[in-house]
Amino acid sequence: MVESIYLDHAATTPPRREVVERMAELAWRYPANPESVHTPGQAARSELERSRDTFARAFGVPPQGVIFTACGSEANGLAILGTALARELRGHLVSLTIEHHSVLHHLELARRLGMEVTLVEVGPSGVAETERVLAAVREDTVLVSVMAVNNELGTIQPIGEIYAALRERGVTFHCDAVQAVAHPGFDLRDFPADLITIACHKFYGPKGVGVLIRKGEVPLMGVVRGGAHEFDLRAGTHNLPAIGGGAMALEMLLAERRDYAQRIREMRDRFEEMVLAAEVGAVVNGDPQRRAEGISNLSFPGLSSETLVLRLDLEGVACSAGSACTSGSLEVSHVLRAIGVGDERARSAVRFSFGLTNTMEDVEWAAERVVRVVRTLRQGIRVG
Amino acid sequence: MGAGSNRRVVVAMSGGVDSSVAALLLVRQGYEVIGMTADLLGRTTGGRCCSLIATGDAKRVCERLGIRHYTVNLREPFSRMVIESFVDYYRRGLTPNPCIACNRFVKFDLMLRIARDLGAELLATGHYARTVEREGRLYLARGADRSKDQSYFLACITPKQLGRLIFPVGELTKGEVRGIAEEEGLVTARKPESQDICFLEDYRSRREFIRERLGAGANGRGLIVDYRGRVLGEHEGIEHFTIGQRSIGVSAGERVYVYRIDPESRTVYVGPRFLLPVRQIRLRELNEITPGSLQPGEVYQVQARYRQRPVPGRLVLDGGQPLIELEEPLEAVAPGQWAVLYREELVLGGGEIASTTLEAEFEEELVKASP
Repeated sequence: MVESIYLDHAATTPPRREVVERMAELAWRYPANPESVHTPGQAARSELERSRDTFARAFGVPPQGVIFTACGSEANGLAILGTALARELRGHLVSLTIEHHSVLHHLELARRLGMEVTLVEVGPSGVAETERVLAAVREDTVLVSVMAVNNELGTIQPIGEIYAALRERGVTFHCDAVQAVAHPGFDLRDFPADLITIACHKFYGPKGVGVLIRKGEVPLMGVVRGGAHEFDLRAGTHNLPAIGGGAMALEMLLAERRDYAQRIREMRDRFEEMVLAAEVGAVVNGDPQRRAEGISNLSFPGLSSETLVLRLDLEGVACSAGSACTSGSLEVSHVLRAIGVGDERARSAVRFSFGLTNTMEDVEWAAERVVRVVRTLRQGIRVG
Repeated sequence: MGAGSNRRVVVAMSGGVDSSVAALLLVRQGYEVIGMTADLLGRTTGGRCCSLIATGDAKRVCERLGIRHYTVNLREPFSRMVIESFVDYYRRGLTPNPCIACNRFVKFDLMLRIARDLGAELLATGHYARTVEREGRLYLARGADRSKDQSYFLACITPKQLGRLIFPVGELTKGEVRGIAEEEGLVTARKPESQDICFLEDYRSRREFIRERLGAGANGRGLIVDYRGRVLGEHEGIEHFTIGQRSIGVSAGERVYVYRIDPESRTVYVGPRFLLPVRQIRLRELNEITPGSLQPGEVYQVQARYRQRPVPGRLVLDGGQPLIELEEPLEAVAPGQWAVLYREELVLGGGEIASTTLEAEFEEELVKASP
């Protein structure tokens, strides 16, 4: 099998070597349960709190504002269901139709538990309009949840404006910032939200650790129960190596974030420029002027996303489309359906996402492959 | 390198032992093999066809063989062209064959297209059937293991498709296939045979499934009438009947079988077994697998259900419509099923049954009474 060029960093990023080594070291050095009263437990606890401090410093919150979970999806679940439970399942929730499924499906659960949910529609730009979000807020709205960067399109949502308006009205604001940590346009220390979800595997840390940042005393109740871990908000023995590895990955990213973003942007733009210049019928999804650096979402009307992704895999380009369903086959993207770009564009969209493992040379090679594959497939359709 | 010499081939893998061994044999023959499982039902539970576990099994087999595996989403076309059509056939008093519909519209159409898009001219399946060459022409033939032969379900293959299909286990017996899988330690070696229609597996009966889809009684109630014109009772809808069916839900005083379903009047006709034999089969259209191999006026071996002893029948054209005049009667031939024409082991073609004429209609044993 050929070596692949990995253009799926929005799905997950490969952990840095130093991070993996650090994790092995932590697993070996701190085998005890951080909740235990004995000395080995105390050592693990101290290590855990050092990692917590890293996240707390990065987001400008006290240590109790950092809640570790097992993944970004769980942190989104805690934000939504935790708020719902703290409000005794009464009230109204507002979000967007283009949110990640981990937000949408937890909202659906809240709805089934008796709460009301409004999903605000987003147009073809893939960017929500602040006024429309605010117009959906009611007297009894207890939480508004809007993502920072859309995971499929890369489009940046106006969370600063939304947060400012919601603060005046005293409504809690949650932001799924899973795709946004590396984007230098966001100042993490002054991030515009009360509850913020991040996942360490999106910035070269390990899988298996998510974080919910909580500012102040925003009402929240634990969902995973069974112990007093994480300020009584999330029970379960800590995954200490992953948390430590995640903290290290965050520090390494923040040390070079501006340069990193610049490099990624250059690669993404070069890739897109090459594919568009080849005139193979590619169109960009989402407003190109309001995008974070890592993602290029292209449609090739007339072709199918699934065929493109599989053929590109055979040719050595690893990318993705829509979301994988339980059996591992692809579903047509709910995001593209939601922004109303038309069925043909939704069914032929492919997401390329760039990262540290890529070089400019790789990216140019990949763009050539994409053009070649699209030409071949279009040829096949004419003949067939 | 063997026959494959690096040619790319896609193997349709259900997660069962036959397609696993098909993939294995192709790897041994030197093909560049890609395993592919079609997600037809979006199942998450259970170990059956195309569920999450079955897809996982196919992936594990491919991993073991060092080949790629992809799952493709064919739920929408399967639902539309196989499941909905299945329900619609019953609604119209016909007896559908969903396995042929799946082969025709999903496997040998869509999967073949996907294979081509992946740069593979060839598609392989785990069917017990063979392709053979005779005098420079390609034919479809019965599987070497006659007890497992699945060629009946393949009579819909077009000449163009035949040239792109391979059936690697067709020369083997089921026992040999299991033996190879066990030797290689494939996880699927001991999986039980799938028997029923895949999308009915979560239901207690076909009746329950159809009732859920159509709504109880929504297709209109009707009468059950015996061959002498006597009304035996009412039924909930013709969609619950098939030709040859014995259980009819009312007492007839003797053992009776459904011999005709009239969708117009929604009447189900029943009678003793001697009414079941069919003399003439009219086809909707004729599919010829190898061009020029079927000649009007010739006698072929005819099979109108999967596991049925074939009987001789003459193919004629009646006003352009293909008609088979059986030389020995066949029992319980149901419109909607396929009649398949064989010459010895060769499968020459077939078509969907449009209507039949019963032996009894010629003998005038049948009182054509309407209720």
